[in-house]
Amino acid sequence: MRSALCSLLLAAALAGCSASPAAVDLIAAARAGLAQARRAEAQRQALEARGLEAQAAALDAAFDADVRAVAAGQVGPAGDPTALSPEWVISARRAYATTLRALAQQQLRDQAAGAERLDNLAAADEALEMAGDLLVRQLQLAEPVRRRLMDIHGRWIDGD
Amino acid sequence: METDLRELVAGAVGRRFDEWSAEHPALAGVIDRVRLTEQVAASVRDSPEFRRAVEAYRHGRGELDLAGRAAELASAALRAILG
Repeated sequence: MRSALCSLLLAAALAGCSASPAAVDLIAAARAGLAQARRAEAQRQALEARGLEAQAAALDAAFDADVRAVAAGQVGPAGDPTALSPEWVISARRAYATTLRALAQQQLRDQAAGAERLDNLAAADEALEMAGDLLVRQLQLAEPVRRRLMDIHGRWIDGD
Repeated sequence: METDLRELVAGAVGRRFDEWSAEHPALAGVIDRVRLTEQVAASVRDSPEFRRAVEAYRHGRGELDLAGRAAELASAALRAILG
């Protein structure tokens, strides 16, 4: 009877200790997942930035191509080609500048959103790191108690 | 209201952009028409004139007045962008 009661108490006391190493492993796995998510986010942001740079380069090239084509008389209906007039240049420049500005604004928005996502992932990682440290400390504190309980239990079983 | 404005602006952008692209074919090829429509819609939506027109509509003025004012503002915004 005494042995059964002791075993029950020991099981209850050790239950808290035995859950912690598993929780530490889970936290480590979660942090590894977060690190992967951060790498993926950084890659996504780099791709996004390259995409916007490519769009800006395409815009430059298109502006130049239009100027050359109009100067060569290759734009507009046959027999009445579009003239390379000041109005034409101003119109092209306005559209070019507006589009470039929109691309720059898009880049700023993307960067801000990306930085926020990375900050959130970093904050989650920091919280997990703290939780892991707390659990490890808890385990370290509980270990002598666990050993003492095992010892007492062993002696009680022997004395049964 | 937002959908109506977007549709109205999309129509105005479509017509003007088609004319403009005949004279600027390469630029028209890289300018995103959807983004242009959003820019113009945002410009109209943020203008004090449009807000006043919306207020007037809420106080009983006709829907046609509001649509007409929005179309004028969209044309002006487009002129500022495409000339």
